[in-house]
Amino acid sequence: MTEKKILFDSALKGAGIALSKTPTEVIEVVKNSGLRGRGGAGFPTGLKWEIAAKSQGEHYIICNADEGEPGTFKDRLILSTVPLNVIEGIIIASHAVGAKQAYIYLRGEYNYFLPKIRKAIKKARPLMEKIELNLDIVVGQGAYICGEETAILNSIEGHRPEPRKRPPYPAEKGLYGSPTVVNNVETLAMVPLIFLGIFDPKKRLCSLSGDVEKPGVFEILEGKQIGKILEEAKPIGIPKAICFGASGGIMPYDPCMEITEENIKERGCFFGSGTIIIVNHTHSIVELCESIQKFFVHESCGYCMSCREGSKRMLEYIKRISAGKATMKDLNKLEELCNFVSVASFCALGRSMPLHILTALRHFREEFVRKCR
Amino acid sequence: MENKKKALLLNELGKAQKREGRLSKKELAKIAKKVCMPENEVFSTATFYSFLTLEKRAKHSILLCNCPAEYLRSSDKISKYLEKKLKVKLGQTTKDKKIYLGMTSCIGLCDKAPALLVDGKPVVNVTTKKIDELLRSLK
Ligand code: SF4
Repeated sequence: MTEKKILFDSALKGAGIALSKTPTEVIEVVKNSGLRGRGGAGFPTGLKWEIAAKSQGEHYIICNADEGEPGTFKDRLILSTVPLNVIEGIIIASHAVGAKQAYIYLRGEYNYFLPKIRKAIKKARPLMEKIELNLDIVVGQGAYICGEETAILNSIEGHRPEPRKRPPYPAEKGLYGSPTVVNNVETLAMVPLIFLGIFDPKKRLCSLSGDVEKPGVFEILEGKQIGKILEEAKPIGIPKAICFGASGGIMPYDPCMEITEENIKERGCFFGSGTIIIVNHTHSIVELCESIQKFFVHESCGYCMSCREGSKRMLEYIKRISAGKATMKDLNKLEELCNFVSVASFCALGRSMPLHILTALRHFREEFVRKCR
Repeated sequence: MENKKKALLLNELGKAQKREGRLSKKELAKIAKKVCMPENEVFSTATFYSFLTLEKRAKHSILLCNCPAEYLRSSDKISKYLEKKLKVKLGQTTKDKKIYLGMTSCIGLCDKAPALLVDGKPVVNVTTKKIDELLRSLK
């Protein structure tokens, strides 16, 4: 029995086994494996494939390699150590839904991975020819919003990458209105492991950074205590808070907390892309929120008013609080605005944007109050 | 077939930007023809992305990562230092048109923060000393 390691090099064996099965069988296997999307939303992968396979039209597969969530770098590790696994995942998905055209949407910031990916594609060519699959790489040009699964469709079609209304979901009506499966890098890299019998749905990659001596990608088993992981990563200073990326919220550090989606959700946060940023006692939560909010002002695509304008007004409030020039009334206004933006925005970016401030206000309110007049 | 051509647009724009350092009207028209799309739509797409520019920015580009993990590892100190050294603000080009200093969304190097993207290549664990060396090498 091979060890159940996430970064195990499948060396085309997983795809080989999958291609010897019928598409329906492949979908069944993936469904039963318990694999869920690792990009954020956590939609069951097999189900997504099934919906696409049943929808009429030409089919497309898109590998979303536009991971731009701040603090997330596990895709970088996958692309540099086991790029072939990702290609295998694409091949298996294409076989399952009957796609003849697939795209890898690589973020511009990862441009330097192109030679590695091209080499992996070359290695997988015989398998691709077997199912008559054509695989192209589209290189992004610097836009965080392209990580959104409908924005990526507009981007590949050559339009401005603004998100589309959902439903219809891409699996029914995606690229050029045809059924399209959009899976992220980590999800696709797991697929060949399923067919090798070494996939464990409870294990996932987590990008750990911030105030630690040894940041990096950790393979964690669901339910592991956060304190145990930090023992390996060696904190700098006294850990005070955990920030789950820009759109995952902020909560107090608790060494005994077991890492599960539910535990994190209970505290108002969101573990979607497996990002953990450790914040120590030297940093002010207000200033952390300011830096996150700056990021959102930069990345809002500008399509809808609540996110485009809301992001800027939110930043103004935080800056004022941070500078000690705000009143309690301002703080209440900020909270009101956050609640508004989180329901009125068009896509997930805008709706999750206020989460860091709302969770910070829930857990670290006194830091804000102390700065208000 | 036409659909496949459209998917090439972003790659074509990226290549032209790299070759010319900007996207001229002529270039955009040429690309529009190649991918069978109206010129105005190509223009509208091109102006969305932060790596694509209509005017020549500079010979070199230094991009700072704007993510909170970088912030915790004092990336603001690095950005202030760069601003002082180059005598520009974020989002501006130096007077001699040599270096553009900008911001980009997370470059996925938070484990090696602070990090920069210099002409598309990553520079990690940046210190003020490293910046001095870097600026000297960017001739
Ligand atoms: S919520 Fe923000 S990112 Fe999403 S469509 Fe609206 S402006 Fe664009």
